[in-house]
Amino acid sequence: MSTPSTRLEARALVLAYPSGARALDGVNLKLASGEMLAIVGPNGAGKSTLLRCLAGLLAPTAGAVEIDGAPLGALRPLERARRVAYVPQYLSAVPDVLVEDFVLGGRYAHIDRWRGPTRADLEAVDAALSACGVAELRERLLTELSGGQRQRVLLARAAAQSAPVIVVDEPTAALDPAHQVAVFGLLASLAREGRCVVLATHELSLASRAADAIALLVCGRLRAVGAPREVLQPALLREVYGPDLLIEARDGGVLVAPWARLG
Amino acid sequence: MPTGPRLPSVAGSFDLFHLTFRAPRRAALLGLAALTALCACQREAPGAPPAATRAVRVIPTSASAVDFASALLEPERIVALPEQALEYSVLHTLPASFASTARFDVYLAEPILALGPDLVLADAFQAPETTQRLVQAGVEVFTLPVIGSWRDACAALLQLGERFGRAERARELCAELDARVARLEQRASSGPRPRAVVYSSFGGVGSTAGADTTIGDVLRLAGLDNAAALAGRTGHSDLSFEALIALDPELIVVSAPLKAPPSAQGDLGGASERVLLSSPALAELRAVRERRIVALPAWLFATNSFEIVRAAELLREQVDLLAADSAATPADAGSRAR
Amino acid sequence: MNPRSERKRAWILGVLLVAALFALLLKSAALGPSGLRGASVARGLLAIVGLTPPLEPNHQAIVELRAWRGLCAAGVGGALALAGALVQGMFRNPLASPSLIGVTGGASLGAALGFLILGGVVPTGLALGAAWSALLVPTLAFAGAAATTAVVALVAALHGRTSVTSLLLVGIAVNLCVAGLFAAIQYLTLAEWEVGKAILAWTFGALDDRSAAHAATVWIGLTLAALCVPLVARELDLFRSGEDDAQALGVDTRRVKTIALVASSLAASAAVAAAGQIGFVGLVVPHLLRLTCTSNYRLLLWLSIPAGAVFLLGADVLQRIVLGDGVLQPGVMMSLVGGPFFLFLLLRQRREIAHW
Repeated sequence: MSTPSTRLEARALVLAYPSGARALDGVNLKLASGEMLAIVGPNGAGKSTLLRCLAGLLAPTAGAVEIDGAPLGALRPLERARRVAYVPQYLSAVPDVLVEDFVLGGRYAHIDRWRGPTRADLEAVDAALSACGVAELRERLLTELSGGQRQRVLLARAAAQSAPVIVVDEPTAALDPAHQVAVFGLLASLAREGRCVVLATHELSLASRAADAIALLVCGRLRAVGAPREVLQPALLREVYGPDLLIEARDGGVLVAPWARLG
Repeated sequence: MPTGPRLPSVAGSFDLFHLTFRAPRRAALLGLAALTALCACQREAPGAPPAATRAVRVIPTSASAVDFASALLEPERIVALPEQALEYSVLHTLPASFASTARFDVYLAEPILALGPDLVLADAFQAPETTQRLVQAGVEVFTLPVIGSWRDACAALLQLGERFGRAERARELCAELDARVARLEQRASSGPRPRAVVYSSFGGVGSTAGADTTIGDVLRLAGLDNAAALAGRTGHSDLSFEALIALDPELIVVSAPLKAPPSAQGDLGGASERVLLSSPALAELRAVRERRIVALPAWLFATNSFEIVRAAELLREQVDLLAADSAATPADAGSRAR
Repeated sequence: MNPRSERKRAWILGVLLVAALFALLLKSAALGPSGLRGASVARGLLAIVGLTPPLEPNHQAIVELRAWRGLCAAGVGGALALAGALVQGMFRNPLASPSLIGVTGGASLGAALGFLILGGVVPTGLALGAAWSALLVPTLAFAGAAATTAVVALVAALHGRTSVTSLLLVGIAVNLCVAGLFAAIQYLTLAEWEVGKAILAWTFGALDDRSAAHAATVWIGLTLAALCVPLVARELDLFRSGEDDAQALGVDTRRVKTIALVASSLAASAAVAAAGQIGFVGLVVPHLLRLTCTSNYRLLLWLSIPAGAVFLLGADVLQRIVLGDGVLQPGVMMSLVGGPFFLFLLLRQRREIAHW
């Protein structure tokens, strides 16, 4: 996985709660441009926490996150936003704004306070909207969109942010299969543009086909990191997730589905 | 008829013993009726006071009440004085004779009852619940009527005189008041009636008194024309600077503070006077320019009793002084107070 | 609604509001109990700026009184509306108003202290010159408002991050304390009826008898607050999807909240110092703008200034025409309007109450 130009690096990340329990216990990651890393693991493993640390939104108790060699913790919010874009799983409040205004918000780190949005900013917004396939929604209100549409708009905003690293938290959580495929395709294309994409997901199958690497996080520690087929080994998966799994290697990826004899 | 205890009761004289042992149910009913009647008797406030009773112990509970009580009664017959209202009464400078009189803080039934008065002298605006409670406890409460003019004050004096058994003294006081008012009217009619306005302000909007106010009456007695009343105002109302300028009085009457703050500039009066003197908008008002501002001591400014006559006299005095001053030195009339 | 058309609408509305403001200022100068109007008023107004010789002193004084009154009403309305819009942006809630951060409560307390000093109840040992005593109450009101807001901000920030929720809760708590003190003062001064009356009158607000100093105070406060608007306008728009989300986009949320807090307390303190306690303007005006024009803070913050000015001044002029002079003090007038409006808002948005 180590390639000459490492863009995103996490070294010995530890995040401890005041009570002493550790959400993250010594996580090491390296990512190069154009690579997509999928972080998988059982619920409560610390995936969201790890993502927030990688995005610089949570300060680790120990260890560091670096982007292009610059430690994230030392950066001011504006600087940080220029380097890493974060897509939350859902918005705590959905404002009633136009989609294009919302996506323009992603350019905050680039827009000069006194001059306002420039042509470059507007073009970035247009490009992001087209790339994510939501160009025809640009004059709709965010509150009127369906879950799938809103998810793509969130991704468009992150794309418009023009940051070399994009961190996405469970983008397909509430989406139907078609939309799941669309979103993974989107993320893959963003990676192809040269960005680093890190995402947390439960979609092991799609991750195995789209991602360059998979990291399996269990109880705050990385059980395995590597190419999808190396990590998604049946024995390991059954150990982590339990026996009710259907695991099958197909089409260059690994099909992993919850499967049980019910009733 | 068997002899038995005979008790006089409202229901008439019955042989209770007879009833109790011969007809228990009827006796019980009659007993209940008697008990109810007795209670009803107890709850009835004594109506007109029995003529023979003299009020030995009196508590006045408002500033006016203090004025009336101290005018008619000897200090020993006043059981206690109201702490808060005292400053606005004639006893604000406490004479030695009242130095040892007890005080009570607030108009509440319990502390007043504890002092054991025979009669409580209260004002119409005071808490009706307390008054009711005192009445229920068997204390006589005399409510002063609303004093609209010195004639009302005289009537109240006479009424109280009757009640206290000091009718003679009351008539004397009334006669004195009549005489003083007559003297005032004489002084007033001897010259022109200056236009005056009452003004009160603490830096917010000022207010004035029109017709139907006690202070308005004081102005009238002192031989002044109340410009606000002439402009159609009744009662207390807001008076903006612009309205004051429009009224353009010759004289402004304000209240001097209760406790004058120590001030390097000796005669800086109360807040109202300061507002008048410090506002650039009023600088050219003739009453302000010529310092024709009369400050009445707060207790007289706010008095509600027969002391309005004294207020009018003091006011008249100051007006005459101002007139004499301006006749003598036209440019330099300072404001007078107290 | 197309964003371009939204901006156009906002601009048109802004121009209309400013024009209405000038018209109202002139109308306000023509109303008064002394019957002075027309050409004399016009000459008097021009004389203030030195273009014509002044009128006869008392008439000139009257014209100036009316001018300061109008400017005060406009400034107070604008300042309160701006403060309201800032607070609503900061709390991400359209029902927020400046009173939440402790401004009105603190101002009342400061003013009460001023009245106690003026009435001699609290001896200060210093001899107050006449001019200084005229400024005492507004100065203490301003100081009280600023101090209370500072306390709220500091207490809310005690344990690290100042979340909006903690600001809200601390604001409520501090307001309760201050209100308790104020009530105690009112009760204890019942005996000094002049002082008590003055304190009570202050809570109704006052636009009468304003001086140039009052007008200057509120306009300086408003200007300083308005200068902060470009520093937070775009950021407050981003706040709407949540503070965390805004932070992820690169917004320095602590700085934004600090600036918004300082600006809104500056504007509101100056307004309350100039005209006493006037509520609801900060709540109602931004809301009316949202209903008619835009929810976008970049536009809303600027529009709220002329809108608030027109609102308060317009209500004052209307009330003087219909009811005559000095019948309703502005605080009372706004409560009569604001209360039912607040209820109407709640009913209208009751469907969305669940998500607040």
